[in-house]
Amino acid sequence: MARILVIDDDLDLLQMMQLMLQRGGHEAIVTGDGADGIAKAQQFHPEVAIVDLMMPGMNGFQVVHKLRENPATADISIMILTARAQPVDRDAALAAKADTYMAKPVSPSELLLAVKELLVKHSQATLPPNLVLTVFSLRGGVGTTTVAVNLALALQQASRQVCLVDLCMKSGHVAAQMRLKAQVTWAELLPQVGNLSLDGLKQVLLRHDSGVWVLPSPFLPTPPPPGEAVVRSLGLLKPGFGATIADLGAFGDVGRAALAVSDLILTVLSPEVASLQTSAATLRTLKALNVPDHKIMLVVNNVAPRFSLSTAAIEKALGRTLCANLPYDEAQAQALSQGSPLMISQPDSPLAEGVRQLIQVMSPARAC
Amino acid sequence: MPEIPSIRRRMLQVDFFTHAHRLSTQVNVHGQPLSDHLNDSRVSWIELESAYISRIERPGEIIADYTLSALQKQHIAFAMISGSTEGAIKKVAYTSGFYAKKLHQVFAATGSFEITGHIELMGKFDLHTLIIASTERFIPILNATATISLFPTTHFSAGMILINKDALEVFCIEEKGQLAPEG
Repeated sequence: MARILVIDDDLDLLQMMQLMLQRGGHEAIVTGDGADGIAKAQQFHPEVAIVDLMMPGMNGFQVVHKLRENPATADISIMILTARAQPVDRDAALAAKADTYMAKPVSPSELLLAVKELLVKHSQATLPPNLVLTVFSLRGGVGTTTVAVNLALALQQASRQVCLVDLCMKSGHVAAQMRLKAQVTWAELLPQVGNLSLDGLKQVLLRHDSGVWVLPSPFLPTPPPPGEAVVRSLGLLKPGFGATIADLGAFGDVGRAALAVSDLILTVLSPEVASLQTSAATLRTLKALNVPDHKIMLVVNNVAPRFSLSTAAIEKALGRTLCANLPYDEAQAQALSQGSPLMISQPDSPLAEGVRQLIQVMSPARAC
Repeated sequence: MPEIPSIRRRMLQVDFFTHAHRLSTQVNVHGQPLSDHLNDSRVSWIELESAYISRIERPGEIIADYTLSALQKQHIAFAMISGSTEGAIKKVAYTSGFYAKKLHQVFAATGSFEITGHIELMGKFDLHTLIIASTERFIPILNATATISLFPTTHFSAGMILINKDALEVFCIEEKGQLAPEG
């Protein structure tokens, strides 16, 4: 749920938008006047402002300018929603420093999806500009790769260039989930990473249609690379991407190396006793490795619809708050078989929505 | 859920283009199509509500806005209907055979704009009647794109443009048309 400010002089439309946003689970603050909208922005600090362009007195461009020049409101995500529907109008809106633009009329589903994407952008704006993120679990079968893949796609959609590295030692599934054919893997690259530049590395990485770059794992079991090669490769990738995500299949030297250079560590578990036990062991291991607590995020992934442990039970057992609880999604089986991640094939699916909400709580400053 | 409809049913969202300005506005069509208002030779001006004005060389920037305005029809190069074209022109029932509607590709140039699109004609094609003999001053061009001649990378597209014959310098049309879809 987010707080959204709507500024539009069409009072009938304003009322309809308020209803739509409330039905979408958001808190909507509305006003028909630009100056009042600026005052409300300062008072309520919304995450998103939807601004009409053509308003008497103070038009939408002027409103956007005022919001951007005030430090208290400069970070609000702004959508311009206007009946001026030409390409020149879009260019003018973006040049005025709005984050996005939509032409009227707009359907409720289009509006809510655009708001969702803005919220993800807004939340991930608090993340470091070049983020290294590790997704792992000491127990297999909890959907770690699914989380890593959909997270990569969601961040890419939020305009953050992403590189996804499959560090699984035994036939990782990142490439398969994204329907990519692995040609060069880390098995070939990491031994010579000391001689590579970022540009050289990019020439051999796979590129998904979404824009996400992928370094796949070898198909056959391969001896793990030395930890320092992993550190060097992630260090090489970090400045070149807004987010470098490591899908960590196992622990050992590779795992320790990846964790050491990560800004955030997503520990994935499923809501069942065995996974809970493994997660407790994981947390003890991370503590022993002196991994700062604020870097660790616990994510529950419901891989089956069966009866599962409650959030409260998990939090009590592990002694910490869960950062996200990704819902079971029956469409995931088809997504896996077709190599079409839900973040792309069904962006409104429960899992995709859950991943977007996960991004909203990801921040080194907001430990869960 | 359906798209958000226009609540103000008698108000039409229109962009008027003169040789130097773009006016985004609403026209109260009073139950008559916009084309009837524009083609009414008894009245030289058209009244506008909530006009937002831009210069043609920077058509995305709003330089002024006024609640009430009047625009002299002879200076309108064309009127672009934003969104739904309902209320823009009179609808003629589809007929078949000799009187079947056909779409003819057109190119038109005014002093500042080049406009391409299709014109819908019924019966035998006659350029003389269309351009010279017809008393209707504004011709509807469907699926139209207008380009600013001096800035050819700047385009405006709409389901319908009503182009002022008095502003035309050049009018070109494909003699052979295609049958228009029903509706």
